[in-house]
Amino acid sequence: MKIDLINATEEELWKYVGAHLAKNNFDAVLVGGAVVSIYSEGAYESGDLDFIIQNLSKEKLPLVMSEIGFFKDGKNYKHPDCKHLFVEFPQGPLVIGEDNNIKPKSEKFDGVELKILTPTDSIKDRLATYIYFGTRDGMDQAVLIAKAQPFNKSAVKRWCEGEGRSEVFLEFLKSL
Amino acid sequence: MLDKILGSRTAQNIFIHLYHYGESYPSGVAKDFKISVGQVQRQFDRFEDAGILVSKLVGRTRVYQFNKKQGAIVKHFIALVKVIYDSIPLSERKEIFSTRRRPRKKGKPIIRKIK
Repeated sequence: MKIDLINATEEELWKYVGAHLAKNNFDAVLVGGAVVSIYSEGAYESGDLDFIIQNLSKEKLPLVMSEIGFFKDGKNYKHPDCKHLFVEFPQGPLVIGEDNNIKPKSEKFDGVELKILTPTDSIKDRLATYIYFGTRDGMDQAVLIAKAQPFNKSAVKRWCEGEGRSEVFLEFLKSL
Repeated sequence: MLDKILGSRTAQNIFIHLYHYGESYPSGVAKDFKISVGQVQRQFDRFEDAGILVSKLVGRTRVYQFNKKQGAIVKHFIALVKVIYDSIPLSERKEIFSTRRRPRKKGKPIIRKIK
């Protein structure tokens, strides 16, 4: 698979890196800001791709990433031609606040299955950033996704209630 | 107990400190527990890397807090820290955490009760 790493979008890089990881038996789920970028069709630019690797063993990760030219630099993986995006592997498991029953969306690409948070879970993830880190951009990103993608409103409501923050759901609704 | 589980007394002190203040930073832990900043910083790095803590820069200081966005995992850990924290005698807690770090209006004097 070929990719223009100098100009790649978050979605193109996700598919390129995600497919390579999947071919090497890594169960990788795209989370975080890059998901917002993909679902908002570029209205938000994240600057990095966060993959949660669900496999217990991750020893081969540096070798597998080096096969596509990404090398570890601190906590991130960088490619010399891809200056605008880097890749990170935050620690799993896949949880959003109190919710540990996250089922990512699967998408067939280049003969393998790529995984990404659903729009509903990505909204919850951004609202979690707003709730727990107090940053307004979490709410703004949740709204961007909600305006661009169909999502399960009642699931977001239930999640906010589960976090003990029903008022955040009302605030989110008002912002739509 | 927590020090044995985590393999380090410094690590235990960090979590006790975080539990008490809600957020913390390496020089604060080092000062309150009279240990070196370097060894505290290494432990903070370790726990941030593990995803149990998150940090942000406030001025020139990196301030850490529990990663409550990962509540399904972290809340159980905080519950364990709480049990250890609650078991520390109040007199010892007062001694360790004698520095006020909660918000206080600029210029407002601190009047300490002397026994």
